[in-house]
Amino acid sequence: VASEIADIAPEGAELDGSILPTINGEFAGEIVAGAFGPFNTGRVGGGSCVLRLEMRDGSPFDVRLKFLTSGPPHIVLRDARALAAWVEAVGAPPTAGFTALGENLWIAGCGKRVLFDLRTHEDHRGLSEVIIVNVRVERKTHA
Amino acid sequence: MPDRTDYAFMVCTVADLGKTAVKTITRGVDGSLTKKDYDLVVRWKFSPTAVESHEAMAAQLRGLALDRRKMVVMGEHVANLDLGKPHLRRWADSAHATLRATPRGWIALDLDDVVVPPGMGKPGRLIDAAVHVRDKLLPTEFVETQMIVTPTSQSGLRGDDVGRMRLWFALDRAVPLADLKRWVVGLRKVNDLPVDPSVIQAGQPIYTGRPVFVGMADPISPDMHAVVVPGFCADTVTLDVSAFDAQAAVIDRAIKQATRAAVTYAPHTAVTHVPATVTYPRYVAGGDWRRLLDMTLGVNGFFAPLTQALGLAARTAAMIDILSFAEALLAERADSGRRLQYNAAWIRRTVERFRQADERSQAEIRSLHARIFGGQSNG
Repeated sequence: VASEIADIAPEGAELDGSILPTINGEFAGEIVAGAFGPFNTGRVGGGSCVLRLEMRDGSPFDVRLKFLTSGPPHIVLRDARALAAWVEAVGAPPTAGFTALGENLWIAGCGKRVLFDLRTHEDHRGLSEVIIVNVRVERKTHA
Repeated sequence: MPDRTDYAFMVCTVADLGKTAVKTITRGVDGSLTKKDYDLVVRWKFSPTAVESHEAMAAQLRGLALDRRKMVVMGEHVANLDLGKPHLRRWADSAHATLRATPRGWIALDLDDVVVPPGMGKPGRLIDAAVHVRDKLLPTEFVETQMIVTPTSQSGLRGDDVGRMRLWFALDRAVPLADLKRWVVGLRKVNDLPVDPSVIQAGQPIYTGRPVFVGMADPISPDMHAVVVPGFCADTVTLDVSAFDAQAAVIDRAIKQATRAAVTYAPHTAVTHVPATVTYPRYVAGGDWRRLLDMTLGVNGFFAPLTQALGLAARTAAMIDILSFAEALLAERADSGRRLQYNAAWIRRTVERFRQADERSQAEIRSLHARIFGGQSNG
């Protein structure tokens, strides 16, 4: 119940998840260069990135992910777990700030096939958003 | 759907050395009661069990009441699990699950501190209290339906007009656990009945053993460990699992709307340092739990508004302020039964529970952020 209490619309939050197709399951993906950085709506804050997924048919699909570091506690916790799973999976060192974190994740992910377990669900505004449930790494078998 | 059986369940036996599945209740020299919670048991042995009558189920429950190392869960074991070995109780993560949800033809309603007519809270009147709950407080499909009554650990210890009990009903069909749980959540929300929905999961313990009592005798006599109470209308309940969906949704929407109106977010600070100078989360339920409670208490029931507002208040307000405001509003809007149910001790416990949960999640956030950002700026 505690987490439900905080499930309030953060005014000014981006609505870019509204046209997402449903993405559920494990997808290989990589960060789109330069697309990892901080954001701050004044009410919630954190970092966002664009992840290029390899869809089932092999086509690429870009999805924006957001990670709150301030805002409703249950979302901050969920996003911290997702980021920590990503950092650990690729072996990225800790770093200051989202921009540097994005670089570290990108560098540490090079040469690895990073698999993101993703879920699409409706947020409290009825908009679709994609979240990371888990991250794991498979060694690439080809160049 | 599995073959229909009135009562099919999993008996779980403690496999950790020196641990039990019962509480310990100690009466001090001043008469006060101290409760020691259940041991943290890691490994259990699973025994699928099924019986086909109320009497046979009651016999099972009487045996379980005297066994300190056993409890039951509603789920079934996953395929190919070696039942000869002990296992963890896992059911949420399908990859590592040892138990899974399956439709069941029975339901156990855990009543915690339900207000009953004066005198019915006494240990010897457990059955009277249970009949009162079944025929006066539960939905009509339960009225005069056969049931099994079992005590819970604090039956008879909560006051003359406060009942604690577990009522077991057979259903006329097997129902998925998710539907049963949704129904119980709705019942609690719409009818303001203190029923615990958490036990309706594949692996959540339904503790069946009588506690260890120290310095006192068990107030519940053995002949009341499991009693079949006849029903003149039916042997089974025809449950409408969607009965509360619409009303519960209306309550949820109303409370959410009121919460949204009452809550503000603190401005985000652009640059912070983790973990030294940041109090996590940098989110403040700044506003107005009082306004939220004022807008919803009594209008949208009592349990949901109280828990929602107390959850907000727990983050920002002093206990004394929370108690005085909530009690004043309850005195104005609630009948005597509800005032007793949602008394100062309940409010205090609820607030403390929220605070502990918040502390746990904040500690985890701090730890995770330290691993991600290394104690540096994350802005």
